[in-house]
Amino acid sequence: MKRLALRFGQAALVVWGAFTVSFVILYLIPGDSVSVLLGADGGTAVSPEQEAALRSSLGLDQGFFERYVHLAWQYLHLDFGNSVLYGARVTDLLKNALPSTIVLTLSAMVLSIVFGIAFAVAISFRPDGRIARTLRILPAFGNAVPTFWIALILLQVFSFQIHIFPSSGDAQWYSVVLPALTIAIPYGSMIAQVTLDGILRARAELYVTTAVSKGLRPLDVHTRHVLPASLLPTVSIIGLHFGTLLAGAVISETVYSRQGIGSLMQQAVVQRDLPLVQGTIVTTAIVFVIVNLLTDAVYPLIDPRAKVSS
Amino acid sequence: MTTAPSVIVDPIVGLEVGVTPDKRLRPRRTLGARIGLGLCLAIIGVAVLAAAFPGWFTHTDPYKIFYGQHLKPPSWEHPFGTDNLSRDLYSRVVHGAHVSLTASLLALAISFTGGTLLGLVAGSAGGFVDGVIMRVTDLMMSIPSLMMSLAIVAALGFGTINVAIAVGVAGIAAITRLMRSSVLVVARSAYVEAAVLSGVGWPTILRKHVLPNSFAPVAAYIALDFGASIIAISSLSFLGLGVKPPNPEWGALVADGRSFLATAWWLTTIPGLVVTAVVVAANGVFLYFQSSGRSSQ
Repeated sequence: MKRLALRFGQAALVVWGAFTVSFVILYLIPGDSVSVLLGADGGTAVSPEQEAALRSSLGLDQGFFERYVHLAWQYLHLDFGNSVLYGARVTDLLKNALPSTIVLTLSAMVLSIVFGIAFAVAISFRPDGRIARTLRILPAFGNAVPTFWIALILLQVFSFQIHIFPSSGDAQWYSVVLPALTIAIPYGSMIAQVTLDGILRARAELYVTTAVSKGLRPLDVHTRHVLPASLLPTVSIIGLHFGTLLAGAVISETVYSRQGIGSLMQQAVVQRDLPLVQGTIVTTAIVFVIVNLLTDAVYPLIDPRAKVSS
Repeated sequence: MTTAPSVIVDPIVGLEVGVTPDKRLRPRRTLGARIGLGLCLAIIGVAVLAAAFPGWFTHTDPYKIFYGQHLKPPSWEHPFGTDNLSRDLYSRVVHGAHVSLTASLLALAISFTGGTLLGLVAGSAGGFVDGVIMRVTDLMMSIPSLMMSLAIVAALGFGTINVAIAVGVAGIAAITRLMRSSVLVVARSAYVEAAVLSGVGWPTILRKHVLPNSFAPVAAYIALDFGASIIAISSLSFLGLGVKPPNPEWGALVADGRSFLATAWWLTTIPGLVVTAVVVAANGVFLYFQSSGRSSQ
């Protein structure tokens, strides 16, 4: 119980951190965002009253600390303010965008876990074989390819050359495949690397030698001793690097014209809609901590030691 | 080299994720690995030369319009083809290297200067100062770095310099943690103790012993971070926050080609391939030095 309370406390701290950092970045950096916002419209034709109204709607007429407390209070009541760009409530925009992003990132997560672990297991049969040594370089490439480029290459091949998947939108269920694959490639590569490393490391352990020498079949050695031990770092990487998927969603959703948190953030940044930028950041932080709480819950299932300590 | 830390610090999350694999698991330096390193260095070398001296690679003006050469596929005349405004893509990629690489270097300089100093202070001061610096990095780590860069650009405004600053600032926290864990190891070493006992002042110890020795293991991350900042900067440019058209930049070139995916594959494929090649090369250099740097202990 105590452990659980601690976990929730940490999760709340991360969300508070995201709120605070985004607040400091967005409202403390020198440079008057209001004049930029007005300038972006090409207008000096804005009356001083309108400018003052915009200022007070952004809370810029208050002192820094006052504004921070005020906004934090609003956020605690799930009021993220109003979008400058759309005029709508930020929470409503986020509510509409969230399901699409959750579907996207979870599909990508499943794809990455399945293919990442399968890749690692396949390589681990003969890690020093000629084919395996060549294939082992692949994840390093997967990590290095820019997401926006993967997105466009997949689009080119699978929707323009062979017309399998739609190029944009999220009308059909299978339209999530390409966007998910796009962000799954770097994330899955990382999972493959960590898992393969874990398998090779676990295999060198003495308990595996014991299992082999007492005559356990190789398959049993692997399913009962090697894999469970090697999956521990994988599970923690899955949670800790979930941010990679969320950041990837910004690019993937923009390229595939999906209406999600990522594309909302991109539009907010391009239009310099600061309340909306902050809303998307805090929301992704919330999604991030929820995923990490879930992976924490999975941990004791594969590591009995974690169960004992809780 | 006496003591290099044996912890592997995850560059993205900044947490210790493991210790260096023992000798049995460490990849051996084969001839292949050396050739690979040479290839990686060659790719980076060409990219850097292209950024510094674009004239060595092309005499074509990246803004010149070749009338009647609209969206032509790669040929002898135009090795990378031409774009929708009939400009030579090869020349634009070569000249784009300047913006992309300078911005990456600026970002690197910001994150390494900031991170090294903060990590040095945190690791050597300890106590309250250490606590404050570490909590601030915790806070900065609560946002994925791309999103943090996006927020900074939203606040600062658009343009290459701002994008580079944003990427650099977003990278400070990770380097701070790396540097701090390295400083903690060096600070415990016998030669620092010897220096303290022989009455050398702290500023001198920090400058002459702690800084150089603790920076050495961090230095390998320069290569990794170079690749990461190229990706981050070209991603932000791709999203339309970097250079203003018609200036060439790698991410922006890919973005420009987006509208012609179905008809002109080369506009997106080739600049993207160039970015990938440079980033793969940078990661390759990192992997080589990371696995060999410790075997010399």
